[in-house]
Amino acid sequence: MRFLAYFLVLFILGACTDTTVHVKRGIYFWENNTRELTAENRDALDALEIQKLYVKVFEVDRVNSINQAIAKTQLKLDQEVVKRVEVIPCVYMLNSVFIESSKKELDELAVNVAHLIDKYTSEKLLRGTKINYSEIQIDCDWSEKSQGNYFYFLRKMKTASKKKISCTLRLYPYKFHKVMGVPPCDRATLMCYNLLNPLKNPRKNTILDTDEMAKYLDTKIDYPVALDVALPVYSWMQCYDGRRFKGVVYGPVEAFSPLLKHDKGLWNTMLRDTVVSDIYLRKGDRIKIERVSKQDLAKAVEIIHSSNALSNQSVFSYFHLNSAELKFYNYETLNAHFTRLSR
Amino acid sequence: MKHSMRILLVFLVSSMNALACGPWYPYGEELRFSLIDPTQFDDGGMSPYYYTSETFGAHYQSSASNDPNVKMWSAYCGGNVSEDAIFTGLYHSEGYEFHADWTANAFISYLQKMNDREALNYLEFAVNCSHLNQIGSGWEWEDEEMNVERTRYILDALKKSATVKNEEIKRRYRFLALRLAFYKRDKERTIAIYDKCFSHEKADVIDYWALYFVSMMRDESPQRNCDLAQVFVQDPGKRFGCITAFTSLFPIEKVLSVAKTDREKANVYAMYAVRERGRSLETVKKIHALDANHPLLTYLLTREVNKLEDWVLTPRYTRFPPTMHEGQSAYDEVEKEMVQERVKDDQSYGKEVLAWLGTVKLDGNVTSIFRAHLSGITGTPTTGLTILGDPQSYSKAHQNMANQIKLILKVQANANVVLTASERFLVMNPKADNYNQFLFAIAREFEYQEKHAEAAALFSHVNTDEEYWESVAWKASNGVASLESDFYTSYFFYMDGEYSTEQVQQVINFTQKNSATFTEFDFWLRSNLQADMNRLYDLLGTKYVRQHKMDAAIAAFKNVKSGLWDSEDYAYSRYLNANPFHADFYSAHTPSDYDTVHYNKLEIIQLYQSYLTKAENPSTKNRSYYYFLLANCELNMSHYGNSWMMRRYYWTANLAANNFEDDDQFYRLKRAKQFYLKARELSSDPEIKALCTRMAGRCEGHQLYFDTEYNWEEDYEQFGGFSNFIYSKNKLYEELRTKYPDDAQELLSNCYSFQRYFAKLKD
Repeated sequence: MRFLAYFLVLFILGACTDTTVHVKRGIYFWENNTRELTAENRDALDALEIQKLYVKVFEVDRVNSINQAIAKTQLKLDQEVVKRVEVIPCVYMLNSVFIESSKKELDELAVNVAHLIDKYTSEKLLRGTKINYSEIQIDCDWSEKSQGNYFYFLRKMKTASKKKISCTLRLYPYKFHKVMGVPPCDRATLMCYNLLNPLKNPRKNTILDTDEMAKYLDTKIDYPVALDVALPVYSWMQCYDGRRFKGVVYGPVEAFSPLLKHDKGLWNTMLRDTVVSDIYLRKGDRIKIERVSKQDLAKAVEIIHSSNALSNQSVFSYFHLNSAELKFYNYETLNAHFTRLSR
Repeated sequence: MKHSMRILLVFLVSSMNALACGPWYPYGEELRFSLIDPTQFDDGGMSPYYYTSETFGAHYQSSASNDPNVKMWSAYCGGNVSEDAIFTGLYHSEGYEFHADWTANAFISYLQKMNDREALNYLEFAVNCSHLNQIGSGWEWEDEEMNVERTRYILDALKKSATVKNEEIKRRYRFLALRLAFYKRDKERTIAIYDKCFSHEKADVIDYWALYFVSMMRDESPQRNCDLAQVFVQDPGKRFGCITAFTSLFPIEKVLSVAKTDREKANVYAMYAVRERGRSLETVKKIHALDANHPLLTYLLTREVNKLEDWVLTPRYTRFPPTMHEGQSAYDEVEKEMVQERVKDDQSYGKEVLAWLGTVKLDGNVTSIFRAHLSGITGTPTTGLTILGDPQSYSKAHQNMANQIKLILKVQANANVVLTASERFLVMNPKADNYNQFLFAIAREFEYQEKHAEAAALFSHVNTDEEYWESVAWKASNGVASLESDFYTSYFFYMDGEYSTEQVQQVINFTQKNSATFTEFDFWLRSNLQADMNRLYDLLGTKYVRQHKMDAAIAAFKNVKSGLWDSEDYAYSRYLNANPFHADFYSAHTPSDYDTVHYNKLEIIQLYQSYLTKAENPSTKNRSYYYFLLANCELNMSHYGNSWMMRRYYWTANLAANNFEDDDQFYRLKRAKQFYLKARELSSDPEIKALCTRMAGRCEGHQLYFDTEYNWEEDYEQFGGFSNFIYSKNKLYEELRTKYPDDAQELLSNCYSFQRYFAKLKD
């Protein structure tokens, strides 16, 4: 009887513990050509008490029927940063890689990817010093067509790297996982942004549309893989000549306001000819400015909070590390969102 | 109707080619208008950086004429060996061939004859270690075996460099050592070799190769950017690497501050200008001020002229916006105005370039061709003709271009000009470079000066021999488009959209004209139109139908000889085979029991006219019936009926206005409705009145559907959906319910009731 009472107490305590969610703090660094983190970006890591830094180390593309590593990072981290945060190397992989590769090529690819990550973490990311990492994140917008090969590759990655494998997960395969399948990973990060096609939704903010996001998180889903979540904190300008899409200029968009006249909603007009990021913008071009507002970010946090997607030790991350963009929201607000998601 | 057209029907006329690969829409390079071919002003070394709407132009192809290594060896041989032989000897020989007893290569043979052991040994060495000059597919596996080999060759090269006597060979060995160190990813050794052997003043391209490889090993800095700019200008083979490694992190002022000489500064400016998509004249001026003989000046000016061609001539001739974009455009009114405003602005810029070109001297005919062409672009063709002079005095490579520009300028200045024999040959010669664009530009210039017949005749020769992806595509100036697409590649459908009835008649008259003084050119000019004479009369009659000038339409259709409408190839044999005088509540394109008679276009309009005469004659018995038949015919000659091809050459399920002059009939059914109401007015029978109201209501429903833009903000669900919303707005249905309540329910909900009511009207 006494044994049963102990068991009951433990069970109740255990149940209480289960409801506590302590969210880890993460941020993504996705730039190719940056050689080192600026002092402002390092300060941002401190101010937000970031624990996990997701760094894209390279991309994999299918070029001339060969899987190749491209867009390798130039980043050199310093010891101080690596001491304070856990670095998770990420690899962005194009869907065509999985559509076009044979199983044999995928076997080879997994070994190559694991090797190159190891090389970067051993020799390149931290000059001559090895970065210890326990997790690799694979980012791929897989489709029903590539699902089989992609899942096969993830299993092979686990074997080749002997690390935890996490992957990014769009909201569609999250909600419709019975159709789209569940990636064979240790964790998956729900990327709650870019839900809408920018070219087909002229009136909406296609970086983050909270109504659209809520549609995917409205029901509590018992997803078979532990989840992390990422929200966007960036801005961009979509540039159109008349109705023709010219390209995207990344923010902070506020810097461009002297060049623009506001028309209606998200739309603006260029006031004079200028070249920005290799795009020749001309007087009269239509510019759609998309910026995740503070209100929308807060609303998105609430949607995540009520979705129960996050469990204890889940990671909540911002995409991506750019102090100029982060300051738009201010660090207090961004910290408050981390706190809000812990309960 | 035997064929249902529920989803999408493209009415293919015999001369049109069906595209096997699905819809094609022209964009980018397919639309860009250009007469200045940059390859004629460059040795191919800058080909990836020619002005293009794509990310890069053509791949760089190393050749005997543009490879600086070949030039060095040519000088080494005292100009006694051809560049082609040197190119083959350097890049297509095996190591053993340099010491073989016999060789077919004149370069190797020359060195052997001169007993130049140092050069031959060096070349053998270079070929033997060339397999080590590779990085791999990016996975960075350490290849120890290759690295051991690289080390061996590095040491060997340095050793040999110390022993050979010839200074150039000495430096070549040192360069090989440096390059092998680079491929070994041995940063320390690469920099050490460079510092020891190549950090002096640059003498030739070997020094720039060394600078390239050491720069690729160094961290980003203004100095590295400056070095890459120097290599970029000096060696075509390294340009892509330089531009990829060149970083935009540093403002140009910082990079300029480390450049030591005017030439180096000019090279830095050039590096910033080669990828500039906007205006670069100011940068080009600076380069010229620093180095009037800069090797990329001509290239940069060509690029500037190509930009102006795109910004001014692409919209002027094709009516598409300039092509330096991705995606597609609906080219609406706002955009059209915007483009026109920019064209004026760009023409002003063209004048600046033109004026400056008048102050500088470049090689050969370059400035004359550019200035003449810019004169045309900026609207002063007569000045352009004076500047251009006689194209025959130009270098052979530039003659075709100069001839084409001259003729465009000439027609632009005066479309009544008489062409010389050589000019007529130029127009008739489809094998000339850039023929379609040239011919099209001439046609447009005629058209802009109201010479529509001559323009149509030239348009009829455009795109006749080319595959569709090599053809010219253009839009109409009046925003009119066939329903198949909003652009044209065929003169016939362009005339359908753009030309007035009178202009089509002018084209027919022009085609039929004959004269004893006609030259070969006159016959050639009319040849394609003559072959299409039946179609031209068909078009003329169709245009008259659109204008409701039925007698004129009959006259035109009477000229259509057999062989067109009854042709197996012509789609009328499949589509115009229904009874156009029958319609009911829902009839559309599906076959009906009334399709017992078939008419051609002429017969339909003749019958239409005879019914109209009867309907309008007060003494005719049952006028109401004839108005009803006429209304049916109007309904059937619309988007919604079985004889839509009386007014259009294409049909699509999309309700897309194409802005033809009869859109009120084709989409809004105004005359059909008017005739049904006239039939109602002339009848005293309430049931017939109710039937006519029902049919007029159908017309009103189509009009409402066409004119009501779907409003995404509106909640149509409260009406039971958008269709019901339209239904609720139909005043004639409302009238039917209030004035003829006994028949309304039957006529609105029972489709079989039509027969009974119609039988009464027929009686």
